Amino acid sequence: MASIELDIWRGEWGLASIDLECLKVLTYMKFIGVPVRVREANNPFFTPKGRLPVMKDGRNLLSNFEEVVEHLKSLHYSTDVHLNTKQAAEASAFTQYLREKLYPAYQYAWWVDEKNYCDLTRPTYAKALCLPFNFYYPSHYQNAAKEMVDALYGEHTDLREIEKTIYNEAEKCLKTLSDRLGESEYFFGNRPSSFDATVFAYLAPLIKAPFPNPTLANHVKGIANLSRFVARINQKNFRHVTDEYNRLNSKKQSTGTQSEREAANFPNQTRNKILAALFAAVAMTGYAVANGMFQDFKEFENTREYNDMFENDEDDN
Amino acid sequence: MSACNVGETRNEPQNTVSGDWTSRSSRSLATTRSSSPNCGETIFDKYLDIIHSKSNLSVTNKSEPPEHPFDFFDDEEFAFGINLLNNNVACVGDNITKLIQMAQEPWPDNVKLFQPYEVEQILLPDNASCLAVQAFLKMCNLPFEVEMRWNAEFMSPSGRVPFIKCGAFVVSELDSIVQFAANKGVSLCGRLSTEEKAEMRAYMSLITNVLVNAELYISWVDNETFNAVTKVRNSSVYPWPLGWLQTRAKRNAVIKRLKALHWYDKTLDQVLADVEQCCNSLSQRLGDKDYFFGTAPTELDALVFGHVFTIITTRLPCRKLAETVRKHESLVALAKRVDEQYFKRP
Repeated sequence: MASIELDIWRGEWGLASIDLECLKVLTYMKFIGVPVRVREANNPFFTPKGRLPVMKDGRNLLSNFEEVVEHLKSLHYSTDVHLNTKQAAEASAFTQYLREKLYPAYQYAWWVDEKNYCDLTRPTYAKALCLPFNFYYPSHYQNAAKEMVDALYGEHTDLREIEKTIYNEAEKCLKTLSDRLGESEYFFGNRPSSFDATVFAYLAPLIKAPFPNPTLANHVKGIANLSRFVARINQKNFRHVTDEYNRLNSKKQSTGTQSEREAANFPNQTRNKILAALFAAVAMTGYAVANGMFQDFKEFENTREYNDMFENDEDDN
Repeated sequence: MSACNVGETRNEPQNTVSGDWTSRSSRSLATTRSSSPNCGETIFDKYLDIIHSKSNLSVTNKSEPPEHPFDFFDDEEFAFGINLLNNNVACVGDNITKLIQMAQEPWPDNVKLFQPYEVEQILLPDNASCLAVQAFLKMCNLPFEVEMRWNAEFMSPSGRVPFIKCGAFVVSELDSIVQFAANKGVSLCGRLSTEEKAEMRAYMSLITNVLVNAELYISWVDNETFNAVTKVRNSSVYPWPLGWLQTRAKRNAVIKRLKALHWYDKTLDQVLADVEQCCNSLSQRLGDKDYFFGTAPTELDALVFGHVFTIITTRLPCRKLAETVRKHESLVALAKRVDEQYFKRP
C-alpha cells in the first residue's frame, strides 16, 4: 500500500496540531496505528476546500473526518468494529450533539471572541502560515465563524447575550458528556473509538491553549473526569509531542539569556532583514523606472553632446 | 380574555409593520421576554433563602393551595409581568417573590399554543416542530388550546414557531417549553438515570441536526418543492408584493443557516443519505420497544413523532424524503402509536 500522507496545521503548546479537524484525523490515525507521513503544511491555498487537514492516499484527496474514516474503513482499518449497532447509533447521536452544542462555542472561543482572536488565534495561525497567506487566512476563517454564529443565533442582537447563550449550552453539553463518560476509560468499552477521537479533538485545544478569555476553557478544566480523559489519551498517543514541548520549554526557561530568548521568539530575524532590504530596493527601482528616470539617461546617451564629450577626450590624448 | 388581548396588542402592531427583514429593535423587546424562564430559575435559586426566611409568606411549593391566586385574566397582573420581564427583571424585594410565585404557579387552564395556519400556510419544518410540542404537552397531560395566527412566527420571542403563552410567560420551541414545564414540576424524564438523560439529549440533537436541516433543505433549497409548495404556501397570507419579498427574505435566511452548517453544498442524495443514517440510528435505538425509554414516552418520543409523522404524511413533489423515512418501520409504528394514543379525535 502506498503510504498515506497527511497535511495538518502545526502544533503548539504540546498539542500535535492547533486545529480541531486536524487533531480529530490525527488522533483517529494514532488509534488505528496506520502508517502515515505527517507534514506540517504552511499554506492551505492548494487544498480542495481551502482548509486543512488533507489526506493523500495515492490519488485520493480527502479533506474531512467522515471521509477519512470511510476511506480507512474501506482499507479495513477501523476502530469501531467492537461497537454493536446500538452503540454505533449512540456514537453518531453524540457526535451530532457535540456538533450542535459544543462546536459553536468552540468556534466562538477561538474566532469570534475579539480578545482571544487578537491575542491567541490570529498570532498562532499567522505563525503557522507562510508569508502572503498569513494576512488572508486568519480573517477569512474568522469571517466564516462569525457568519456561522450569526446564522445560528441571529435572533439575539447583543454579542454578549449570544456569548452567554452559547457558553451556557456548551456547559450543559460538557456536563452531559461527563455524565456519559463516568469513570470508564473510553466512551464505549475499553477500546478507543472514533467518537473518543472526536471528543479528544474538541477538548484538548481548550485545555492546552492559553486563552486570554478562558470562560469555555475553565468549564472544561472544571470537569475532572474529562480532563483526565484528555490527559490519558494525550499521554498514550502524543507522548513524544508533549515531551518535546516540555523539554524545549524547560530549556528556554533555564538556560536562555535575554538575547537568546528573543532570537527564539523571532527565529528568522536576519533573513527577514535581508528580505526587507531587498523589497525596499526593488520598490525604489520600480518607482524610478515608472517615472522614466532611466529613459532620460538613454536619451541623453544618444544626443550629440554626449558623443562630443568622447571626441573631446580623444583630442586631449 | 383581556389578558390575551394585552399580549396581542403588544405584539401585533410591532410585527405586522416590521416583518422578518426588520430592524432588530422589535426583536430585542421580544428577546428580553424569551429569557424569562431562565431568569426565573436563577432568581429562584438566589432568593430561595429570602423567601424561606419570610416563612409566614410560604410561597414555595405547588402543594400549597394558592391563598391569593394570581388571576391571569387580570390585566393589571399581566401588565405587571410583562413590565418585569421588559426591565430584564432588574428589580428587587417583593416584586421578585411575586415573579417567582408566578413561575411556580401550577399550570393554568388558559394556556395557548400559537402556530401558523395548518391548512394553507404551514411549512414542513414548522409543522413538525409544532406537532412535536403538541405531542409533548399532551403526553404531560397539560391542557392547552391551539390558536392559529398567520403571523405566529413574528409573535414568537425567538422568531420560530410554535410558542405557548402561559400566564405572563411566553415560551417558544420545544427545548425551552420542556424546561418551563419542568420548572412547574411536570417532567417526563424524571425516572431516567443521568446517563439515560445524556443519551436522550444526544438523540434529540441528532434529530434537530439532521431531520430539521433535511426538512429545511427540501422545502427551501430543492427547486421543485420550493416552487410548487413552499413559495405558494409561504406567500399565501400576504398581499402581492409583500409575499414575494417575504418569501425571498426567508429563503435567504434559511440558506444562510444551511450554509453555516455546511448543508447547502450537499446534493439531495447526500442529504437523503444523512437522513437514512439518522433514521437507522433511531430505529436501532428504539428496537422493538414501545417507546425509546421503556414503556412511557419522553420528550424524545414527542420529537420523533413530530418529525416522522409530518414527513410521512405531507405530500410533496419530492417523495424521496418520505420514502426514506417510511422504510424504517419501527419509527412509523411509533408515530402511529403516539397518534392513536394522544391525538385520537373523538
